[in-house]
Amino acid sequence: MAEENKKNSEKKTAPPKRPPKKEEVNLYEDLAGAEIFENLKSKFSDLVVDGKKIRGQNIIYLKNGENLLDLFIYLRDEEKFDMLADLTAIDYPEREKRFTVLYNLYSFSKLERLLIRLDISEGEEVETVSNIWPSANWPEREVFDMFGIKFKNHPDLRRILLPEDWKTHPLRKDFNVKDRDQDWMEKHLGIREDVNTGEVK
Amino acid sequence: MIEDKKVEEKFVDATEELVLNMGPQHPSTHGVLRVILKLHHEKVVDLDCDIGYLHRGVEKISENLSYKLAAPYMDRLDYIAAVSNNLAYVETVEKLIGVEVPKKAQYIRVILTELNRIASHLLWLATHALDIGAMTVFLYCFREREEILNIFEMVTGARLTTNAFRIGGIPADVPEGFEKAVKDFCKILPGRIEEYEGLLTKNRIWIARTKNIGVISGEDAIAIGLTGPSLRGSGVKWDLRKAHPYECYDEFDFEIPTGKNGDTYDRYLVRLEEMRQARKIILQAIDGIPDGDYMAKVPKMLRPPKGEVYHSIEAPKGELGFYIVSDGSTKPYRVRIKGPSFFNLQALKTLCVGHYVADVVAIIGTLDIVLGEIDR
Repeated sequence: MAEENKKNSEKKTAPPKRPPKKEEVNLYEDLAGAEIFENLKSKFSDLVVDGKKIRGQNIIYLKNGENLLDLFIYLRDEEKFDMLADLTAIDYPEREKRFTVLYNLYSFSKLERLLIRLDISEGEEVETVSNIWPSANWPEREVFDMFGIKFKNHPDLRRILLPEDWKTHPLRKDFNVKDRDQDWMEKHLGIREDVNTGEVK
Repeated sequence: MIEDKKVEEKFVDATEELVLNMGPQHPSTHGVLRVILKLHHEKVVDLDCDIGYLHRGVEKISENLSYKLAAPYMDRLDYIAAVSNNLAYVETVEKLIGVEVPKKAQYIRVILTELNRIASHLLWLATHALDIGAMTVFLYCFREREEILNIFEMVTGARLTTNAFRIGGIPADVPEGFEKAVKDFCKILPGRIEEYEGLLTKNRIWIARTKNIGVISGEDAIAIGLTGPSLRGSGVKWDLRKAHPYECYDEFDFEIPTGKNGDTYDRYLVRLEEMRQARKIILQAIDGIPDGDYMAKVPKMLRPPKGEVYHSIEAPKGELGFYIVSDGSTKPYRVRIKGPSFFNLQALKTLCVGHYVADVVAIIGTLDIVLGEIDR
């Protein structure tokens, strides 16, 4: 009887019919042969790992190295990527190199955009690019704030959006949304919440 | 007597620097922005911005929502230009899943976005002029903005956070009377802009307060990351609508206004001309709305293939971009919002140093920031 019940309940909870699974689409194309990729590869073979193209957008994959800044200076001066439009990071906790720092460069003379992905492991420091593109100052602070990635030689590496004595880094994947910095809240607001229920004590 | 003399000496020797706190609750910071100024006499030597008072974690929130549910949150970034925010997000997802939006929806999107550009610039002009002391312009601009909000209400049912578009098109066809309302508005707009110009453009006080204030060269503006009218005021002729046309902007005829000196006055002129150009686009689009579908076929539950996409549009304040990473599931793996105000505000220090305290207010105004988008 008990087994039957179990069977019934299993039947009830069985997932509804799904349409047949589509074949996985691979949006990424190889960038081999593209001018910018070949130039970078011949000059900085120790840094450039790969190049991909997705929906018409070139992406260069890098690894961290000592001459990283030379590569960025080359991109600015020779390849004319004169604006750093954005700088951000992505967290992949299951990867060996946990974080990806993403540089979004734009060239006004070529009207072209280039994304650069730099993979780093946890605790690894990245050289700041705020001396090359001043616009990197605040976004680097934001990445430090949200992911805890430190930028070497940054002129003013402080938290930017969250309070300065805050402890956690919210955009990391292992951050529990309900778990705010309770010590901070108790100190500054005089309240403490239950992490699971959100009840104020 | 001796004490008086001491005080006097102290005033004469007052050469040390003074730290002045401005905000976060200050009417001319356009939201909750705190600026810490270091002053020498009345001139700014250094300043630091304290932001984050409006931080809601929109990037984190959208990681925990499906693609469609995240769209209304984007309206709340730049609440003055909600339509543009919505468009940028929706277009990025469309680019990721590879959907072609029907022509009719594209035309209506262009009309609403350009109306929103005018509304945003009107609010900018109103508050900017009010900061500098021209009260009348404030009331005039809000009068015209009201007309635009009425059109939004007619089409979307909401006035401010409209959630105007859906992934794949627009939620419903435009109601009857839409064309007439838009055309009526376009008819009155040029006269109204002339009114503002009559009040400001040759006004001696206005010129004294804005000419040669907050000057930045084109090269410096690019380096610090300025986009939008603030960049064009420095003479860089760059507009995403022309450089990388999205929707159907390549079908319309319009100019990109630019300034020469890169000062507050030029940025003012650029924005006024942009309103006229936006009207020109609207008039071309409203006569050419094609028949047909307004919504492409999009599955109910979006499951984009693995990949990543960056897409940006010319929002009223500058380049507004979204970077979305998909891991093949129903929720985005990472959503990054590149807001124009965040980068524009970064230039505040460069622009303010060497100017008087009163000019800081003018420069914050000319950068046209909105804190909802800076803090996200």
